[in-house]
Amino acid sequence: MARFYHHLSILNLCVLLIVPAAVFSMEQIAKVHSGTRPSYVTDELLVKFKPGVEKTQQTQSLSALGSKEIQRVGKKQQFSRIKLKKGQAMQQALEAYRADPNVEYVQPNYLYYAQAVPDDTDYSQLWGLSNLNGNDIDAELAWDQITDCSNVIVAVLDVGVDYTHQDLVTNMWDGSAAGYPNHGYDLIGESVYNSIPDNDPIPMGAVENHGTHVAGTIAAVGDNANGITGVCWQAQIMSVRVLDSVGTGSTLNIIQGIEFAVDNGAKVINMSLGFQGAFDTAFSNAINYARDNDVVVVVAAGNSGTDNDTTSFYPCNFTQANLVCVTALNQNYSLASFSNYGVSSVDVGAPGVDIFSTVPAGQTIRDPLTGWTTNNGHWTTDQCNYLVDGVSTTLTTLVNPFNWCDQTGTYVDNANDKIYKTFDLAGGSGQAALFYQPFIETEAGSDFFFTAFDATGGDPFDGVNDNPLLQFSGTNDMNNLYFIHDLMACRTNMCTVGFRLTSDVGLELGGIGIPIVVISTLEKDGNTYVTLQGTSMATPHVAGIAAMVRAYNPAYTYADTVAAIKQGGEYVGALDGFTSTSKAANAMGTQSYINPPTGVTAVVE
Amino acid sequence: MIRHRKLSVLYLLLVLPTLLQISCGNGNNSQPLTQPPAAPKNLSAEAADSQVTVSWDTVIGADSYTVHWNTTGNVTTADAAIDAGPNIQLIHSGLTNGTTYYYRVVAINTAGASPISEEVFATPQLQIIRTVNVTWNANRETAVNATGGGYKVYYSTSSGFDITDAGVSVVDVPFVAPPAAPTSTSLQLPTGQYYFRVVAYSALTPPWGSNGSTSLPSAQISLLVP
Repeated sequence: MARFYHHLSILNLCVLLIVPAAVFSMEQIAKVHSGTRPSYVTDELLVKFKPGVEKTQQTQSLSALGSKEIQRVGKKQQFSRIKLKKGQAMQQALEAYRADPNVEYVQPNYLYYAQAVPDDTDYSQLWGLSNLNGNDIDAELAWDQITDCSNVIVAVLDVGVDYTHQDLVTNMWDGSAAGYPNHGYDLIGESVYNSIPDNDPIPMGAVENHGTHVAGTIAAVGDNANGITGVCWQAQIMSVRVLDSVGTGSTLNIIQGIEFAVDNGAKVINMSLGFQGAFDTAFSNAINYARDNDVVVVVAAGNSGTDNDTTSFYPCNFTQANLVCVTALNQNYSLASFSNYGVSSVDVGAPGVDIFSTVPAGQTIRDPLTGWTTNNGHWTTDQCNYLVDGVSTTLTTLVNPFNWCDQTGTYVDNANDKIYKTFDLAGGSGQAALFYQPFIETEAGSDFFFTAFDATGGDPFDGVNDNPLLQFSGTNDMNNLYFIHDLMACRTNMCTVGFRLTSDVGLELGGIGIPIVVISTLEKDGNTYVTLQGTSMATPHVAGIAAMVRAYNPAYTYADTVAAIKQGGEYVGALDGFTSTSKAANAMGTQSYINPPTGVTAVVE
Repeated sequence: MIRHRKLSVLYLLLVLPTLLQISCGNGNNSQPLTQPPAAPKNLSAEAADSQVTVSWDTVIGADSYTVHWNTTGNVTTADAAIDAGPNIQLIHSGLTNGTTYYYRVVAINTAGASPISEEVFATPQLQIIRTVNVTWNANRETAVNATGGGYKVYYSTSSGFDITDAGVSVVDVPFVAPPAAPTSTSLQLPTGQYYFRVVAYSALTPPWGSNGSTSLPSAQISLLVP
């Protein structure tokens, strides 16, 4: 007998939360600059004459040695800053002055360079920015010139950013003047009953950590003796929520998000998102809109380990000149195993494995699916088999009917079946969310699945203090659905969450199975960090570099910026044949890149 | 008439012994006398300020060359001659600018003179140096427009030149003072066809480089300096 499995796809986002990620640790010492910068001003000396040597004698000494005093320095004007004769060697000049009886001492005018290493406590974990083996974006060299990118607005189009995070709060865009006091905009409704953008792009609970992680890599506050630093130590991060909690956003959401970012002054857009599929004209037009407004768009190559040139992945495969598509490198600067690639579609690599960054604080608790109350025996708990990424997996599941696992039964006629459980969500300062992955097979239009909460405890479907969250009718075949609902109004010690199945007389189908229920809370002003991986984590390294180079070169256009990122990258052999440039994005390489001069003319006078 | 003939005889009497003596000096008559050389070939005449340089190929068996010239053309051996000695180039100087000078060359050895060569001509001109203004758009890199930054203007008489080619000239146009490095320079160039490329540079060094960074050259532009 053929055995049918329910296919359970757990999105990356959830996996990364449910399975605690190993924290990457690496001993890291401030990198010693091995560059060729001069250690002193090559044609200058500082001379101190002995006390009592008259000004005229001093002048005589200087002219005898062929030098010129260019400045009198020191608190007591005791030093002469000397310009050497053209072509005179430093050593020779030093010896000549030392031989002069009027001179007390002489020395080169030494140069001191800022050692741009931030004091953030977890800085040593950020291998992608700097490490001793050299597989990094050379952020420290770049920081010698600039750490503050705050004249550039970087939009993070994602699931929202915890703008209260202690390592992000001062680097968030302030949109108050434009009517967006919450540092961006939220295009995602929290549930089917609340699908109106709420102008509050904060993630719903710690389950939505993706955007906050991305934002931290771009610009977690640097040198604040706390947590990590981003590529930029200071910046303006604009959070535009275009993805729901499972990383899904519609074309419309994303287009509106791009338009919001562009219209409100973003010069760099980070989109650690994408999908395998067909060319999306409206999405492409939105990238054009960004380009026409001089905005650089940095996107992820995708995490399927596949060739984007063969299997299109958008937005990576868009060909606009303002778009940079990024794949992920590991600590050896090899292509990460999950990285998508494409010699014509993917542009550069960047660190994307074991990336440590900011996430919302709070609790993400996966309910064991025990202790639920039912009003009759139709709902129960069972152990069901699923195919998770092709692997047969047994998971405790809330089921209706009792034999849902075997796929042999159906729910009853005239059902009014409830199951609920009470949680203590009191005391928190931020969001709370209910996240679950149900399988639903009900007769469309006749039989219904409901979700609701009651902040005062008890049956959430009894007509008292009920707060409906979802009404669903129909079937999603053998694949699970995802829902997330806002529980902000349920932050009490008696927050009851429940599911309900109703039916009429007639066709009865396979019913409901819910193997994953997660209650997630977000606490404001958090200071939490985790390690994640993906091309999603590589992309913000490049967005940070884009912001930095635009901040350093304020006149830079999108075309200058993209050329500097692509041409100014570091050659990495592992990217040969997998990217258009064979290069890893590099902050210092990009900063030192110079576009060829244009508009050359020559005329005879 | 008789007296006249008598004089001729006298002359013969005086000269003949001399010729005989030379003949005796050669030892004997077993070696035949050398033929006069062939006419010089591949003449060229190049004009400069108040002078013309005439050049030709070496003629085998020639001991010396005589350059004949005039200012009307159809030069013959009856025209003014300049002995070039064994050299195959003659610089004819002190000429009038704007006048055309015509030249032919005869090769000479002990057996005599060659036929006269083909004719060449040239018109010396005052050497003109023109001021050429080269301009370009300002680079948008901050470091190009700061201490240690600037531009280099490369020029050559060869189209499609590479800035590293031998014989390419370069002028440095460094940053001097804010707000930006200069975006023009003046060159003093003699008449001719020129090609230009501009490179920008800065003091910022990429991690894998040393001593600053340099842009790729701009597209090449050309200019005829008349």
